[in-house]
Amino acid sequence: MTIFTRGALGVALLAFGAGAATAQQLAPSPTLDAIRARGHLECGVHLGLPGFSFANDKGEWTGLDVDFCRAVAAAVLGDANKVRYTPTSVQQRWPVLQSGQVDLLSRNTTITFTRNATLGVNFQGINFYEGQTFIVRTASGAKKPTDLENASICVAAGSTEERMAADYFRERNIKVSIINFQKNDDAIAAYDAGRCDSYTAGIGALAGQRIKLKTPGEHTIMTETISNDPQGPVTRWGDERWQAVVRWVLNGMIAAEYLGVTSKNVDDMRANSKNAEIRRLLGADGNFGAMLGLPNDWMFNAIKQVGNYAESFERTVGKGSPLGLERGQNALWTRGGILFTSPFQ
Amino acid sequence: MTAASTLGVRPVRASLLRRLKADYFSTPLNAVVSVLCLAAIVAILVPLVRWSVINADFAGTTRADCTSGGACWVFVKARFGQFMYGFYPPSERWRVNLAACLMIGATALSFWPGLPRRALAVPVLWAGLLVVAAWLLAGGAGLPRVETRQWGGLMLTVFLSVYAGALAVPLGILLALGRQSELPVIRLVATIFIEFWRGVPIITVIFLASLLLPLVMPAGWDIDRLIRALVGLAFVIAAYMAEAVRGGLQAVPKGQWEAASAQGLGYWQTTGLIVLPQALRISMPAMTNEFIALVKNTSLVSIVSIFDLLGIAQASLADPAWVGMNMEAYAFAGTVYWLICFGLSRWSRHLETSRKTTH
Amino acid sequence: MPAGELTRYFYDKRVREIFWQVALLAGLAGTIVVVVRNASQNMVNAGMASGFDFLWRTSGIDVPFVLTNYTPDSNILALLWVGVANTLVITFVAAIAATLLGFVIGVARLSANKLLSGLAGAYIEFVRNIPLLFFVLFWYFGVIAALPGPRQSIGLFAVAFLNNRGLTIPVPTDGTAFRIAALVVLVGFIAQAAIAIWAKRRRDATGAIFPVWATGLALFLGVPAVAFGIASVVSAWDVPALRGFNFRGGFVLVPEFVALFAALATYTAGFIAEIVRGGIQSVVKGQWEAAYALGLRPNRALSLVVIPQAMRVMIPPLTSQYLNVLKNSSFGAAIAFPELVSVFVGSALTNTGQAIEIIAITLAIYLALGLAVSAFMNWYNARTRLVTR
Repeated sequence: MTIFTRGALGVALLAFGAGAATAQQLAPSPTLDAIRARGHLECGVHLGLPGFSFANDKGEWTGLDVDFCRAVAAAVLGDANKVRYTPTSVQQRWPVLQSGQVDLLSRNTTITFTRNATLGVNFQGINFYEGQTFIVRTASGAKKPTDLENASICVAAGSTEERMAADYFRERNIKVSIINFQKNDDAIAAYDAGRCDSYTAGIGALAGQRIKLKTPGEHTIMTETISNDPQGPVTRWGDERWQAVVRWVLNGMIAAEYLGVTSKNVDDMRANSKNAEIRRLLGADGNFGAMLGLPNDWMFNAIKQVGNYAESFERTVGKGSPLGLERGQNALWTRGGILFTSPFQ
Repeated sequence: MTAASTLGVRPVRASLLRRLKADYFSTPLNAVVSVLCLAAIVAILVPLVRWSVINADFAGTTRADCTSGGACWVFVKARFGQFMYGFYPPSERWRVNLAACLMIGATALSFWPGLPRRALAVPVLWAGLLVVAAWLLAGGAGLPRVETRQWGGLMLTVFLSVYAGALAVPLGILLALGRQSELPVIRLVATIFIEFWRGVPIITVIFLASLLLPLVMPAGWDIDRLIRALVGLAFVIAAYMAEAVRGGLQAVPKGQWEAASAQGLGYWQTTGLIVLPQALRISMPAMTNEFIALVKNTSLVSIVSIFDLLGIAQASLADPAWVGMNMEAYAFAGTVYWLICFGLSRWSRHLETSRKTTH
Repeated sequence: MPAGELTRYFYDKRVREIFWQVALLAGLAGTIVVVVRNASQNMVNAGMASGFDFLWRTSGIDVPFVLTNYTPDSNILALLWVGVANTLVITFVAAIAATLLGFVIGVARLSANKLLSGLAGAYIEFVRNIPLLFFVLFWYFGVIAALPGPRQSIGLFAVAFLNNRGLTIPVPTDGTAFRIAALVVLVGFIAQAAIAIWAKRRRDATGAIFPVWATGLALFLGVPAVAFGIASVVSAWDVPALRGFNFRGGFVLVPEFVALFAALATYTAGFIAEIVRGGIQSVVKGQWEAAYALGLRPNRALSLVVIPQAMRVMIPPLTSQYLNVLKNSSFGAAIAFPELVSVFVGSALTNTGQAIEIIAITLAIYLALGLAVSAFMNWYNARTRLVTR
C-alpha cells in the first residue's frame, strides 16, 4: 500500500467517521440491534424499593436504579422514556437476565465473586456503595450489630444479606435466628408485625424500606455496617460492545458530575465549553458515541434528560427525597468519597 | 311435598316456641350445642360487623380521613381502579369492560337451551371470543398496544382463569381419551403426563414456568412471562380436568360404544358424537370444581411478581401513603375471590341437581 | 409400492395404530432432545455452572426450624434434607389434624340441630371458596399479632415459653432415656393394635364386645405418661432462659410452623368435611334402621355400621386430600417456613443459581413422596374394601 493510498484512506475515514460509524469496524452487538429494532430498552429492576426503583400508583417508575435505565435508554435511543421495566424478586433477577428477557439488570445488586464466576453475568461498575446493617425498634435499645444476641432477623432469601448476616454472627459466636422470606416486602411486613427484632439490608435500602413501616419514627437504623456491598448494573456474558455501552454510560454520569455538567447547563456546555473532556463527553469533539455504535450525542441526551450522578442521587435517595441519605462513600473521590470514573480519553 | 299436603290436609302448625324447643332444646345435649353455636355466631359476627361497617370509614380520599378505628374502606376506594385493572391505562379500560361483557354474553349464550348445533356452536363461539378478547386486551391492529406487564388486579385473575381454563378443557379431554385408549403407548404417555402434573405443587410449576422455561427455549426466543405462567397453570389444570372427564367417560355405559361401532362409526365419530357429549354432561360439575380450584390457584402467580388481584393488593401495602392497610386489602381481595368461587360452586351444584332430575 | 397399496395399508387398523404411537414417541423424543440441546447451549453461552457438584458445597444458610443435625456449615444436600424433613412433618401433623377436624365438621353438618349444621355449612362454604394463600397469610399475621413479645412471654410452669417468636420448650441434653421411653411406647402401640385385631375377630365370631378403649387408654396414655415421666426425671434438661432478645436453649416451635399447620388443617378440614358428609350420606338409610333394629344406640350404629361402610367411599377422595396437604405444604414458602420449596427453590437456588438441577430435584421429591402416600392409601383401601362373595 502506498503512502498516498494510505493517506487517502485516512482522509476518507475521517470524513466518514463524523457522520456514520460504519467506517470503523464495529464488533457486532445483537443486544443493541435488538433494542433499536424493538424501540425500547428492557430493564430489570427491584419489585419496589423506594428511592431505588419504585412504581407509584400510576405505574410510573422512579429511583436511582431506574434513573440508570433511563440514562441508558437516552444514550441508545435518544429518549429516556423508552424503557420497559421488569420488576424482579431476589430469585427472579438472574434467570430474567440470563434468558435475555432484559437487556440490563439495574436492581441494587451486590457485586460478588461467585455471581460473576458462576451465573454468567458481568458487573459494569458501581452506582451505589451500600453497607449492610440492621434496623431495630428504638425501644429495644440495640445500638450495634453485636447487641443482637438471640434476636430474630428477617431477611430476603438468597440475598447477599442472608449469607452475610449468618457469617457475621457465626464468626462472633453470637446466636441469632434468621428467618428467610421469598420477597423483601414479606420480610419487612413480618418485621413490622413483630415477628422479628430486626430486618437486615443495606443502609440505603433500609432508608427506603423504613418508609413502608407503620410508624417509621419508632425504628432506628444502625450506623455500623457489617459489610461493604458495592452495587451496580449487571449484564450477561457475551456482547462486549453492549457491556461497554452500559459501563460508559455509568462512567459518563459520574464524569458529568466531576466535570460540572448538569441537566441545566448541558446545552451551554456543549456549545461553549473549552474543556476537552467535556467536549468529548458531550459529542462536541471527536466521535466517542460513534466508536460504540451510538449517536454522537449519546451522553448529551442522557445528561440532558436524566441528569448527572449527583442530580440523580439527590432526587431519588439524597436530601431531596424522603430517604434523606448523605452522599458518604458515594461522594466523588475528589470530595472524600470513593465514587470513581475512568477518564473520557 | 309432604304427605300431609298432598292429601289436602293442612299440617298442624306448631307454635313457634314449641318448634324451637323441638328443634334446638329437645335434649340437654342439644340445648348445650345450640347455646354454644349461638355464642360462636355472636362472637364472630359482632366484631366483624363492628369493624367492617359500624366503625368503618367510607368517605374521604386520604389516610387522614380514617379516624373511626374500624376498617378504612377509603383505601379500597382510592385503589379500586388498580385492584380491578392493575396498571392498565385508564383511557383504555373500556376495552377490559367490553371484553368482560362479551365473556358474560358468551357464557349466557352457551347455556341458552335454544342454541342450535350446540356441540359445534359452543367451541366455535368460545374460540372466537378468546381471540377477540385477547385482541381487545393486548391491542394491535388498530388499537393501541397495552403490554401484559401493565395488566393486573381482578382483570388479570379472570384472564388467567379463563384462558388457562380454555386451554385446559380440550387438553384435558384429549388426555382423558388418551388414558382410556387401547393403544399402550398413548395410554402410557397420557397417564405419565396426568400423574406428573397432578403430583407436583403448583408453586413449583409456577417457578418452573418462570425460572426454567426461558432457559430451555432457543436463544432469542422470548415468551411473555404472563403466557408462561398461563401455560404452567393450564397444564396442571388440564391434568385435573382429564381426571374429571375420565370419571364421565367411565360413567357412559359400554353399550353406547358398542352400539355406535355396530352402526359403523369410527373411533373419532363414536367419541365425538356419542360418548363425549354424554361424558361431558356427567363430568360438568367435577370440571367446574376444578375450575374453581384454578381460580383460587391463580393467586399463586403473585409469588413470581405477576400482579393478580392478591398480588396487587399486597403491592399496594408497600405504598408509604397507605401503610397498615393489610386487613382492608386482604378482606377486600378475599371477598372478591369468595364471591366468584361461591357463585361458581352454586352453579356447579345447580348443574348436578338439574342433571339428576332430567335422568 | 403403488399409491393405492399404500393407502390400503394405512386403512389397516393395526398399522394405523402403530403409526400413531410411533409418531407420538418420535414427537416426544424430538421435543426432549431440542429442550436439552437448547438448555445446554444456553448455559454454555451464558457461562452458567451445571451439574450436581453444588450439593456438596457448604450451604452457609441459617435455617430457623431444624429437626436434623444441620448447621450452616453443613452442605447443601443436608439443607435439602432439612426441607424434606420439614415438609414431611408439617404434612403429617396437618393431615391428622385436618382429618379429625373434618370428621367433626362433617358429622356436625348432618346434625339434626339446624344451628350446628348451619354453622358447619357456613364454615365449609367459607373455607372452600377462598384461596389457601389467604389462609396462610391470615394465620401467620394473626398468630404473630395474637402473641406477646419475648419479654411478655406466656410462661408455662417456667420451663416452656410462648411468644411471637414461637413456643420454646426445654429439650433433654441427652436423649438416650427418651429413646428407650419411645421404644416402650411403640411396643405398647403394637400391643394395642394386636388387642384391637383380636377383639374384632372375637366380636365377629361371638358378638362379644371387648372394651378395647380401656386397654387403649392404658397403653396410649398410661404407658407413655409413665415412660416419659421416668425419662424426664432421669435426663438433664436444656431449659430456655431469657437472654438478649429472646430465649436461649430448648427447642423453638416457630410461628411459621404453627401458622402453616393451622392454615392447612382448617382449610383441608373444609374439604374433608364434605367427603365425610358425602360418605355418611352414601350409606343407605336401611343400614341405620337395621342397626337400630338390632338394638344399637346411635353412636354405636355410627361407629360400627355406618362409618366402616362410609370409609370405603371416603378413602379415594381422602387420599387426594392428603396428597393436596403434601403439595400445599409448599405454601410455607410464602411465610418463610423452611420446607422444601422455601429452603431449596428459595435459598439454595439463589445461592447457587442452578435452576434446572434444583427444580428437577424438587419435582422428583414431590412425585416420590406423592407416590408413597398413594401407595399407602391404596394398601389401606384394599384392606377395607368390601369383600364380595
